[in-house]
Amino acid sequence: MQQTITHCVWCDTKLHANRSWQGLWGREQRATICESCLQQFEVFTQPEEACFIYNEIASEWLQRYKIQKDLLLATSFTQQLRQRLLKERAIIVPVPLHPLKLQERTFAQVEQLLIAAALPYEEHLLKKDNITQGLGSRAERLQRENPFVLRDRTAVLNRDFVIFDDVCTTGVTLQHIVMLFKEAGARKVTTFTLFRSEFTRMMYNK
Amino acid sequence: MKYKGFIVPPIISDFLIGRVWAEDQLPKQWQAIASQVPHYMHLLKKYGYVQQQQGIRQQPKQCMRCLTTLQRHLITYTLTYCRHCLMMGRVTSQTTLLTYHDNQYRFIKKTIAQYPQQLSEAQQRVSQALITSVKARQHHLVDAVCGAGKTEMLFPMLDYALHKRYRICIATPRADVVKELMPRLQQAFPQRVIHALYGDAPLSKGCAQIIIATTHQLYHFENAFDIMIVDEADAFPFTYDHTLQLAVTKAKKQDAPLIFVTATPSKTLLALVKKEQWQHSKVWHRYHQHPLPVPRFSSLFHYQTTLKKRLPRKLARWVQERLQCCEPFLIFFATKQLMASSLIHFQQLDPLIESVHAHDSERTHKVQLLRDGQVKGLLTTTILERGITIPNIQIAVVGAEHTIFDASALIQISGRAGRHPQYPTGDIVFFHHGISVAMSKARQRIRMQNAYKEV
Repeated sequence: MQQTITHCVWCDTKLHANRSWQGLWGREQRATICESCLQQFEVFTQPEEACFIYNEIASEWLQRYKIQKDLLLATSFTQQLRQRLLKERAIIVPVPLHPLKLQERTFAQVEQLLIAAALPYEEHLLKKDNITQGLGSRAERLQRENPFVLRDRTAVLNRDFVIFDDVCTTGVTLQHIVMLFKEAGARKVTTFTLFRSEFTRMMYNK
Repeated sequence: MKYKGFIVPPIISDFLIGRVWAEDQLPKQWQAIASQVPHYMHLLKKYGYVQQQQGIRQQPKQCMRCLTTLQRHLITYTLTYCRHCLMMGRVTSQTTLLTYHDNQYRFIKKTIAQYPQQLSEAQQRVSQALITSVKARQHHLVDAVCGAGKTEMLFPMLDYALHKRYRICIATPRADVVKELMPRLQQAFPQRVIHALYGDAPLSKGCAQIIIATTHQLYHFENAFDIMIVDEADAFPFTYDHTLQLAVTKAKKQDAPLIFVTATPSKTLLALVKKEQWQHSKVWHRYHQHPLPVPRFSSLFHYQTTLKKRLPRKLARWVQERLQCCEPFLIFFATKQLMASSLIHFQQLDPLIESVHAHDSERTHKVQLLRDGQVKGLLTTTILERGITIPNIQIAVVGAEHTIFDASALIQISGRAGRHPQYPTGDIVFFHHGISVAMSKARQRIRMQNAYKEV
């Protein structure tokens, strides 16, 4: 994905580049989505937890990104992600895919979001079961065994982490991971997602 | 006929003839057939029914399904994929595109044609000219005014082609036009299998000899048709998207004649016709011989600000007149937002006024309601500019100076009025905030068409 983007990645109309000083110093990445498209995505009320509300257009975006495998869409929200994560002191950890799933999809969608935004991250997780989280109710999902394992438990000790995922609907995936990190002795673990449903109440109960 | 040692089951051959598809993905609505194809795949390949090619050609990069060469459509990471035809499933450099060919396939010859034989003099002249160019395999442009009876002109030629066992495709940029053409053709040729293809069309049975498709669907065909007809060849997105024009040439057989049918040929099309020496027939009169209704201009300055608060007086008066005379009417808007915000004001005049736009799921239903008289008027964006026929319809365009209304769009809009022989006239008003070049061009052309004698 080395090419410069001249057209909106969502609606394919020509972008009008507005130059800024920040952009000149390379601190700000150019917008790849036009303003009228961006306005359709509703900003999440707590910017610490997520960028946008998980609504109809967000699910359409995810469908096109993950199911139709349109990798270029990874660049859509680079500015928003950088705004939140660039000055983050804690280590960013993307939620991984199962290796078989990765083979099928040909790219790891969460990592690609970070790569597109040129953000540093560390891989600490492995997914051991190839199950899709989107099925079943919240209670059912919580019953299931934690599908993630840590690669190296000692590397986690006394450090701060931000778990980054593309979408959070019930919060079970993130809750599993947060638990895993805390058990291994991490100091502070927060979460951040691109889309989050408005009604999610995250519970960090141990 | 040469026996190849393997006969393809008809359910597969019927469906796949002339089609292009990616090996691992046949679209969802084809699932019933798609599940059977893999069982036969090795046989199909072995006996040469299926040709394989790479999904994306390298150097220069090109998607072999939609034929785009634009670099912004072809994204490379560990592999290359095409964004342009992504909606039909992803084609990457690793997918294999398969093409099914069977030259031995024969369509039945006997035909019952039940189309109205009475054609006007001009229509007959054109239909004869079409038959001659099909015989000579020459390209042909039919340049006929709106409401000249273009579909009827095609019938004698279609009848001839069906006798010759040709496979025919009628392509058009608009799905609405496909849906309207389908019953008319099925009625004219009841014994033939005719398929209508558009975005979410259901799967139909048999091997279609006539395919009516939106131009996007032509990406799925290669080297398939003996005659290719492009209806409304000037409509968006056909002229805008170069790959659609390539798709038309890809879908037809190499020596197959192309027939373009339009009311408003673009300059580039006319230049092409002249350069490549196509046959060109013109019709300047409607089939009922009445002149075309000429649009009138009416100023409606600052309508955008006024419409936020109330209906401008001129517009309100026009609508009330239509309501009093019980005439159905269409009001065209440049943008969806403007239409949505002014709908309330119209509904205060009469609650039976509705609005339609491109993403409206009840679009066809609402147009039908207008036809039945259950809805008195429709507000619409440019989607209804062509392909609809409602007797005694009255037309208004709000903001006709907007850039979205180019001359051909305005001619098409004016062409909705006065199509029925009983109501050959109709009121067409362009409400404007200053007259644009396109508006005066459109009116000039309509007046010119009325002034012409038969050529």
